[in-house]
Amino acid sequence: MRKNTINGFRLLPVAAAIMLAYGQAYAEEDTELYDLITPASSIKVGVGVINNARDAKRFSQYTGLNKSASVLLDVDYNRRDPLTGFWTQFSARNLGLDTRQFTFSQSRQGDWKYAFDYNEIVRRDPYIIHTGMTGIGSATPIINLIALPPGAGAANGVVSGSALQGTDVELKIKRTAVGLSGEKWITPELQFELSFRSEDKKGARLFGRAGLGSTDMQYRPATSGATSFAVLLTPEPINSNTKLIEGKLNFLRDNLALSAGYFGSFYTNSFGSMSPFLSGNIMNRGALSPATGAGATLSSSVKQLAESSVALPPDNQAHQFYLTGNYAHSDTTRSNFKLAYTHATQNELFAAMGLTRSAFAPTSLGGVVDTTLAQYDLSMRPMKELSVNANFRYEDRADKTPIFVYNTNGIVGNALNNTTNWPSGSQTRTSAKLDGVYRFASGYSLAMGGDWERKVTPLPPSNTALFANQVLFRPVLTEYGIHADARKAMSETVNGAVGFEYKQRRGGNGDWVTTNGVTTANPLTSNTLVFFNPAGALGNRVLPIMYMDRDRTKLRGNLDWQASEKASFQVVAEHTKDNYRRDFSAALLAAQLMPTVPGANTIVSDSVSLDGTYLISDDWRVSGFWTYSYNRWNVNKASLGDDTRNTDNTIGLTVNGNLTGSLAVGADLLTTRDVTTFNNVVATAVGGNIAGFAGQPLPGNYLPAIHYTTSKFNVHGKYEVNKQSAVTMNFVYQTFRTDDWQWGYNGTPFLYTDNTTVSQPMSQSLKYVAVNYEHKF
Amino acid sequence: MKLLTKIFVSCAALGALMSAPAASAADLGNRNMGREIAKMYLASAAPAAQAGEAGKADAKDIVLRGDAKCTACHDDADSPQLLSIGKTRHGVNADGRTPGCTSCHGDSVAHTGHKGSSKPPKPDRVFGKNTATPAAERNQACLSCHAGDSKRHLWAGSAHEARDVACTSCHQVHTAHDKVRDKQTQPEVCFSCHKEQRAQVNKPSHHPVLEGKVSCSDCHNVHGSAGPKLMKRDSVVETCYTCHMEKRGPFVHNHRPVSDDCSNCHMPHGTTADNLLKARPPLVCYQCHSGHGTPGVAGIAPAITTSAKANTFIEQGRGCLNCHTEIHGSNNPDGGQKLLPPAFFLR
Repeated sequence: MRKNTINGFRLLPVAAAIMLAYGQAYAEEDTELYDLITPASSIKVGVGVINNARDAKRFSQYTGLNKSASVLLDVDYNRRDPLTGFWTQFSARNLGLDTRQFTFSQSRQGDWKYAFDYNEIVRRDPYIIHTGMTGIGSATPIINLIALPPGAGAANGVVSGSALQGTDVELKIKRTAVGLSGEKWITPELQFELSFRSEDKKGARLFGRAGLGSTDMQYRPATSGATSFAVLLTPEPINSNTKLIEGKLNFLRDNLALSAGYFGSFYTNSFGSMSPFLSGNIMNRGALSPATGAGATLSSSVKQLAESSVALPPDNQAHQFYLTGNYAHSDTTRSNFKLAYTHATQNELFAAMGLTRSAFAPTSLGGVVDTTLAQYDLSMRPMKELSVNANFRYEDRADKTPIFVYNTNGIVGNALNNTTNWPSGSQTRTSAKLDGVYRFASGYSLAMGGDWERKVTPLPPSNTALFANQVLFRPVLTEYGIHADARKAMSETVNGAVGFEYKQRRGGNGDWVTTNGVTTANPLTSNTLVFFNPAGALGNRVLPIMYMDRDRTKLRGNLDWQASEKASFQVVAEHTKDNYRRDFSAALLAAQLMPTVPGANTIVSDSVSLDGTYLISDDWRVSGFWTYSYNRWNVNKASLGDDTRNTDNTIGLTVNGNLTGSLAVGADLLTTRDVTTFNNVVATAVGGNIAGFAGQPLPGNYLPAIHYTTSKFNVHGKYEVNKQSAVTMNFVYQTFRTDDWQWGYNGTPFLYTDNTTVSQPMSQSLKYVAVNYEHKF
Repeated sequence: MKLLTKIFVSCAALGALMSAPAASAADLGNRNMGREIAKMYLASAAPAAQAGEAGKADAKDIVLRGDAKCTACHDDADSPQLLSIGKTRHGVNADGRTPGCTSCHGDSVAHTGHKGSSKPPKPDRVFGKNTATPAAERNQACLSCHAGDSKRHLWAGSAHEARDVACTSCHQVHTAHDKVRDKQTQPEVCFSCHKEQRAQVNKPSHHPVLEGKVSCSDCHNVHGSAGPKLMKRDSVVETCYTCHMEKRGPFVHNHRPVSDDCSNCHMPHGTTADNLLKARPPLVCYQCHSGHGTPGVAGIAPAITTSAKANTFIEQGRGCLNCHTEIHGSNNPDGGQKLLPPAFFLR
């Protein structure tokens, strides 16, 4: 499309003629201007050294810096032909690490472009697994009992382990992606864009499985009839590929811009299932239950269960066709829209996945989810001071997966028997919003608006008895919201805004229903005491938070103050509170199990940030920030008040300056203190099970607080040897400390049945030094 | 690796083929020769562009078409940083669509015609931090060319547009290195407003944002989208699936919150709990499963106490996920086993 012309002249002949005529004169021009206006290239090569690579798990989780010494190599190559607008670019980073990435592209600007990119990243799990398992990363890991670790003694129901000593295993996942993209202007009004990305993902991640020996899922094995119970850490093997391909045709004429496209996404997994093998008699336990103290040998049936296949993620794919665009009705009125249709399927053969199916189940799920989306947006500025925006959005997701009987365990009265799958992905969401902003001459502006959303969820099939009477939901949910913001802008000293938002979510006419389609009483107002009583016949109900009535209040404000030419400050604060409405009676409160009524109560999120910058001189600048965040999670469940609070304080300080004309230095400090407290209230302690965390009072804080403290101190400098080359140095000192009891508490490890344990260095620190030489050309 | 090699070689070959005419010009000699050609190109553009510029007849364009009107004063001695626009795609005169100074800053007659020693009035449109030019007017300067870009089709009415965020609030035009377009430096631009996210990405469980491997724009289209919260795809789940497609299903046994919204359980910007969970299991599970799993009461939870052979709770290890490992959905069709039912996401 593009002609290499300026003002009607072909450039190459013009250039040649001028070069012949004036070449000598231009050769005498200084090169500074050229360097100022011409794309530059550079290569940076160096080495990075870490003093404690092995234990610095958190530092090396994503950085690729997990060796004592690493080669650092970055390349940035840019060439442009000014006569034709032809670009060649190559950008590479971390070539010496396993986080390497590069992009190569060529283009004739305004005409065509293509690019190729490659990207690697390895995620190293920060935990160390001590296990006797072999075959990790395969579909058939072999479980071997190992010796007991310190701290897991007979008092914990364990008689002995094996003579086999375990080894330390570290899991990792490597993603390798290649991408290819291109675009071409076919005519001045028509452009074609194409992009393709393929990513391989290989490795293993924390996973597990349970083996039960009870007569039914709903009873724990420690009760009579149990023979044994197993909890195993079986890392999920990963060898999968994700492909994304998108092609679109863009049309642009006068006031109209359109884009019609296809977006396809494909997932394939080399592993269909995983079947661990339990080697030897790993379940020979001396104390199956603290209550009975009886020992038991793993029964063959339980062994068979523990070795049964675990389904891994199936292949799936989706195809989307869409049309987006905008139209300028006038200089002050514009419409934009999107229409899209997506057809997603999942039909991998169960047999190919290594899975057996029930007698009535098909050979594959035959899953189909079709999604239709329509969005329209109208923006107007009827007068200079006023802008109005109206939006309408409709999304219908139809889960058309066929229904078959999958659960055929044959036990009369069992809730699972002869029940079907539940294609639960269907939902229709319709929303609209209207916003207006009025800008006063003084620089103040006032924004107000409202929004509405309606979610409709179809009932599940009548014979999805699996969750009958247990899972509640609402077929219709409606949410209204209003918001207002007052802003002060266009001031050279003080700018700011305060805002308020309120949203109200309520159920519709059908109100609460069980998943077998039975309309039920509002669980929050019912006087039926069996409701949520775990000992009752209708106990164990699931009350999804996403269907509960909710009042959301949000307050926010920010202030940007240019105190002087040298100093500026910024304050940002936000408060959000979700209040899940409860209209229960006083009688119900008194009669219900502790702590009264189950379900979400309140969720609060607060944050405050202070930023400041001060210019000490033309050469020196200091800046800093403090961010405080607080999240409270208050959910009641039967016999437990879950009141979890997380407080986080992050402080950052930065100093940058020039020591001399050729030496720039700087330092950064970033420190975070994160505390989670569990102000949970437990009604009763039963069977001594809660004594695990010794010293924690009951009722009260039965879970100890968790602290995370991380700090990073960085000093860096850059010495410019000359205009083309520089030497940079970077020193990092990083620490990480925690008392997280997730994998062990007070010397007692969380112990898998084969005596596998998981841990992390609770205190980590490292020093990292990198020296680079940079050359520009 | 073979595929990679093939693609790379193909790209290089294609590039060499397509770039042949231009390369011949660029390869006429060394860097000096390239410089000469640049100047010749500018020289060829300057006279015509300046034809209508009364009063600055002697000035020549330095970077952009018609920039002599501005660079007569704002030259490499006065404002060298402004000339760096020549390094960018805006500075490619061979592309007839590229702007001149006045395309963005306006004709600014009062500014350019100012005489005397007093401070001249500002140009028609100023893009600095404390500018008095309204955001909509600043943005119009960019949108006059970029409104047709397919990624910006839904800008009008988007969250950033409605909040008077200007293009230049994030983008730097007069530099070769626009921070927000570089994956490694983009977050610091976004964090200048989104302070809470700046703290969250420092938490123990986080996407590799600070490590430069995931950027904000990998998930968000800040120029407007059909999804909530400016998600790049049409919904939260569709955006997450582009990298975590194994969670998409549909499965034989689906966990309803998964297809509804990943953020029902996850906080994507960073958390203390593993796997970006809002809270560690079982606490995150209790938000819906409030009727069972009670510590100390006959139910499912205390079983872990004995089975795992330590005096531990369901709160330890992977919590509920110790057994319910297939929490995003199970495609296991096995209905023959009375125990370990896949419908409970156990296998």
